[in-house]
Amino acid sequence: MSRKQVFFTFLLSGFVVFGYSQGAWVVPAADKAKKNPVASTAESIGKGKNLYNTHCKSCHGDPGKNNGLPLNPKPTDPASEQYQKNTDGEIFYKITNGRGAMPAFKATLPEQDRWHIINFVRSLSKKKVAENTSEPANQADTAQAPMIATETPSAQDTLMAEGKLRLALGFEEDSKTIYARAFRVKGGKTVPVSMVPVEIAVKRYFRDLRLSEAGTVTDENGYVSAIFPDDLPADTAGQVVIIARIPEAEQEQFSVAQVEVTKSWGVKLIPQNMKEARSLWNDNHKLPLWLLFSYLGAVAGVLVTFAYILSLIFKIYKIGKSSMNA
Amino acid sequence: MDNHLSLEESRQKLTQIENDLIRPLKSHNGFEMWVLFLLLLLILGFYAYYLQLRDGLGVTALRDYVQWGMYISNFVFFVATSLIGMLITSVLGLLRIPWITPLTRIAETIALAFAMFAGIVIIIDMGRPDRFPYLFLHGRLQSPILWDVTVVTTYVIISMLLLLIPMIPDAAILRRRMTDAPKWQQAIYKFLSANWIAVPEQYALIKKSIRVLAILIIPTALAIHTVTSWLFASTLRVGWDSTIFGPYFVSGAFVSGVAVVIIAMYFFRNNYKLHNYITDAHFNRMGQLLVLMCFIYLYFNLNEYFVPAYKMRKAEGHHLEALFTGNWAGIFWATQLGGLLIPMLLLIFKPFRKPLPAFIISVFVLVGAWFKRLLIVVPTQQHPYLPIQNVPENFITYKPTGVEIMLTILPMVGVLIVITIIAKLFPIVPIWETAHEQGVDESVIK
Repeated sequence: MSRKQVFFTFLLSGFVVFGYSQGAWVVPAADKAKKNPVASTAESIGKGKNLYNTHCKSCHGDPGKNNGLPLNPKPTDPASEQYQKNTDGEIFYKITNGRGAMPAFKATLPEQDRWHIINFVRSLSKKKVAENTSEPANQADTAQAPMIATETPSAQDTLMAEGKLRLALGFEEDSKTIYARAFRVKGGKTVPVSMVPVEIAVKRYFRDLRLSEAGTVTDENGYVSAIFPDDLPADTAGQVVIIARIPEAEQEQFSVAQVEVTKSWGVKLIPQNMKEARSLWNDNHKLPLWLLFSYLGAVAGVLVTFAYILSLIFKIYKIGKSSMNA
Repeated sequence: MDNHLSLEESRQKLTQIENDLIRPLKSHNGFEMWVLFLLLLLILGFYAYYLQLRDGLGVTALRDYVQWGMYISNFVFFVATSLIGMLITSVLGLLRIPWITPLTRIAETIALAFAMFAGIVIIIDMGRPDRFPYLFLHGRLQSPILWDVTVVTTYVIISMLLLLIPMIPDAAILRRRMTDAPKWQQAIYKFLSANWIAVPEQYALIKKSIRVLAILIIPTALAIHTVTSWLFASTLRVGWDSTIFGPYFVSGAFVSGVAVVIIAMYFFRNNYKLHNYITDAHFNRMGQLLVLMCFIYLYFNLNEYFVPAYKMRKAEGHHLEALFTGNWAGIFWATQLGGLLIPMLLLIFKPFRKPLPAFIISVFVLVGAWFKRLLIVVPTQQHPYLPIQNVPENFITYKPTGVEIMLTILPMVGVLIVITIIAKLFPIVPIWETAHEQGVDESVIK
């Protein structure tokens, strides 16, 4: 793969990354557009509140206090702006299907109840967000546009004459090599930045797994690379989230200081059905063979002994009988 | 035997032994009162069971936390006590300990009666006894409960054989002597005597059968009580999650078994006037045996309580504090001191191994043994790992109800009835073995 190709991957990945950082939970368009059929009455909101306290509060916390459980990803506070950006249809879809630690409620809560919860959640928002607010970052079909064009410089960016530093990820599929590149945009062109400390890592539940060596800095072309190991366990689809980031102390200079891309490079997790093999914890008909044979062997041994004893007693009986006859 | 008697002397000696041992079967002195007493208790017990069947287990004090109460304690006690058959007939028998001869039938009768009723105790503990067949239809072989059913059944059958096979020569003697008994009783003697004619081949076959069964009963008896202990030890509960529960239960079983044999010995010796057969020497020996068993059990108790108490892991600590200084402390120390340590220390001294003191001490040991099972079963359930919160008061405390107490007594009445029937149909001290030991020629014992 040439440098050019690598860079093209960068351009594409930039959008995936952008989407991900916003919470890459993509809801199908039809579901997203779904309207709430339950009118937002005081009664509905009241019911929704009760349901929220029963089913949601334990993880999402008190609305507006941002005190949800410290999970990764953190359960969003329903009163937060980020949460309220969702359309009713999106919230409904997410409640219904769940993802990761968020359980699917389609079997637990009737549809009506899910809409009650949405009415309650909406009542928390001070400025109601219009439905169907489209989020460009979530729309994959705009991804064809070049990255630089969509990443409009923020107000802060324009304050700095040269524009801020950025980070992007690129991949070489065959060798499973990861490239992170530090660059800045100058007059519509990208300029590589060297000597920037960049860390390439794979996301895990707790601390991320670092792939690049500690203290690695970008070369004269702005690159840092790392090889993806062959034996890294991943989810059932083999997906892993690869991260490139700038150390916290240096992040201020960057407009994009961390990028994340999902790749299917990991070893697929094949969940084992614990009830498939013979085992002590399984049903009776799937008991371990050693147990079955020990049991049957012991019972058979006892029965054979009993039969033997009965034969001995029968002999006593026969001896007596024959001598009485004689 | 070195004091071998001539044929004529043998016949005289045998007749004398027969007279002594068969006499109680014919005299009914106070027997009716005893039967009446048992029947009265039986009727009360059945009424209690009717109440439990009608209203469910709610009539007991069993609730969400204490689900195994007096009934299961009783079950463990019954299984434990039945192990004495194996100790006397098998272990001491195979070691050819001579003084056990007059005690073997008492031990086997006790073993059979307690083992039979152990199974019935389990049915009493079921709120829906009609579901008992589910155990076989849907039981899991991975569960100790199914093994328990298997070994208890096996043990009952072996105990029955070990009672009936040595009975063959005696049944022949009874057939000859009990000519005025009812027809059905004579039919039983005829059936059990199996054409006994006292030829050497028949003696050889009897001894062989007993030897085979005596060997088979050792693993069975160890299994029955070890598996019973695993019903507890295969959980993670504090107080039950112990690796020594198997030997702890088995050693405890021998304590209550020896005690119950001493009590039965005392009762039969006095009521059946068997002073010449069950002598002070037998009480002396059994007293020594009880000291040994108490000592072994004490050793396991030390391990079972003081090793966790030294560590005092939090959850275990609640349990142990309840036993040592909390609401169970009274029963705990009364049981450990009055039912184990003090009896053991007293029995070390010879005067306490005389019949009466040994009998009184054995009663203490036996009562202690019953309460010890309660201490093993109940307190643990009051200390689950998750804290008990917002439950009714009677979920936390365990105060057995009248129905429950009556239904705990019912199987004990059953045991007494079985022992009474056996002791009324057959001589409680084996005639032929006693005669043989006293030098009577084998060929006349028929």
